[in-house]
Amino acid sequence: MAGQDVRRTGFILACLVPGLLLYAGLVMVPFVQTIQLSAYRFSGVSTKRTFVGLDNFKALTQSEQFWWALRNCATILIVIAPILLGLSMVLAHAAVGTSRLSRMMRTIYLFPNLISLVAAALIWRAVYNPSVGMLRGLGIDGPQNGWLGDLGTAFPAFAIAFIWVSMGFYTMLFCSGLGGIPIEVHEACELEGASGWRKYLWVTRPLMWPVRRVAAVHVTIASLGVFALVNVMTEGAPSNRTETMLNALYRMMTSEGDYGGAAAMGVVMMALTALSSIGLWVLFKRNPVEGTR
Amino acid sequence: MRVLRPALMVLFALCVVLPVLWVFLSALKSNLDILNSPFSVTVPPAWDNFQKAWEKQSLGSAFIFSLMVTVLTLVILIPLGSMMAYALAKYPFKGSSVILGVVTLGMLFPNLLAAVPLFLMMAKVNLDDTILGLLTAYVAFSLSFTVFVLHGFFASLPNELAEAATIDGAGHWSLFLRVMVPLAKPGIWVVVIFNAIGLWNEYNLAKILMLRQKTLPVGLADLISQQQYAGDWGAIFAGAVLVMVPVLTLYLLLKDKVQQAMLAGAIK
Repeated sequence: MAGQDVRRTGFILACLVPGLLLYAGLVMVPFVQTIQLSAYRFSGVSTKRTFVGLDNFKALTQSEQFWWALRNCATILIVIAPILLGLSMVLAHAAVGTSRLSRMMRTIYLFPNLISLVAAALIWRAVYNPSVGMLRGLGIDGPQNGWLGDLGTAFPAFAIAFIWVSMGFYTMLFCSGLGGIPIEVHEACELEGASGWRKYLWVTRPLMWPVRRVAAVHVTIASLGVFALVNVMTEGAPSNRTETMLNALYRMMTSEGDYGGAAAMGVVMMALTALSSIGLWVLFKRNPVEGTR
Repeated sequence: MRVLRPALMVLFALCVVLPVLWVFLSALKSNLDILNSPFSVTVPPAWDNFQKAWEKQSLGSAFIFSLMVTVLTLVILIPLGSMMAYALAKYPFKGSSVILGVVTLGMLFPNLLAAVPLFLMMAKVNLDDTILGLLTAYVAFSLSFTVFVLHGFFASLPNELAEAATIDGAGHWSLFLRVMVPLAKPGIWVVVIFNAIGLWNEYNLAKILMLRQKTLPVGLADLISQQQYAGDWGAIFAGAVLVMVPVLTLYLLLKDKVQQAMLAGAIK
């Protein structure tokens, strides 16, 4: 028996160790080091590191870029994400089912989610562009500097692109949730005369709880973590109106050469991600439908 | 109501398709036509946009590099992730669920939060700006999703099969490779497709780690940001088509599998 145990342990170790070493070394250690490095001032690989305590965080609170990044990510999470999920829920109610049309439409909806965010950013940059833009071609003249160049319209214009990129995914997710509701439930609703809003609020919504929870987690991560779309579309311009936390982190690390500040930005974002995870856990603590997961 | 539902469906489909089609159309237009009339067609099509993007803007080498990185990452990632997921699912030990939790926790935090130390680490061992450095980072950061999904698939396989195979004298490795992996094929499809699309489109890590040899998304992004100074819209649109076509082709060929893969992290 002892030989068997040794072989079993050997197998487990052989399976786990290579992957775990890689994961620990390149994912976990850097995440923790970000916290450590946020207490130093340095500007690159070979430069000297000076311990500065909380100075990087102090500097963050004094920078306008930081507050805009925070404000924009909060707006995406609190305003844009609910709009995105609401629209997806409506669209899912229209597109659920197995008819040829709905299946074809759902196939199309996933497109923006599959293509590179760089391509999506280019598409919207081109749509909004004041000289070659699609909107201009349709006779819709925007502000003088273009939709993405104007202080008032830049953020809403970005938000539309953000919704465009992700709406197909949430629609598909909600469709699968709606499709999973047993036919007996629909029949019972019909017998009891529940339809429209009443049916949605009292039957469909509670039954969709697990799917809505997944969607909430996904949308929270996506809202706080906007990077490529903004980095390619606007780089945070004009005057930080489309700045996000990760774009600020990237800019501090590269063009500003402020590695410690970038790490501090990362720590703030880690804290906010953890905080919103707790928020989600409270919001979705209990499944309203007893006896199901 | 009967008209509203299809109308709504088609309306959103148009919102999705029209901008994409417009980019494809624009990729075949001369710069003059792009600037003068957004909805015109250049006759004959300006195929040289693709030549310019491929050669002059060196998106050709970026395309090949991206393809290499995607394939090589998958070749390392899939066996490594399968082994981890299988051991965690079928050989439970004290602490195995903690390990699974820590590995899947990586899905919660964006990779850029590790950017500063990761870059420093790579530079220290002279792996920054090398394909080997990018590959290792890609494998490490893709493990979370891969292990999470495959763990679900392996856990759902019945234990009786393993017992029967063990009685027949199969060792741990042959049980894993000859019995379990073939049974988990649907799950392996999911992680291959999801990771292939994600790696092909990957932007964040490539942007931080690679300076000279760019991947296709980073190459295109740089082209776009140069554009504000010297605009070659034709080449940019052609570049966007180069990024999108492989993924859209895969989607058209394997529609159901791609849809399943994209939702796999969310629905189990």
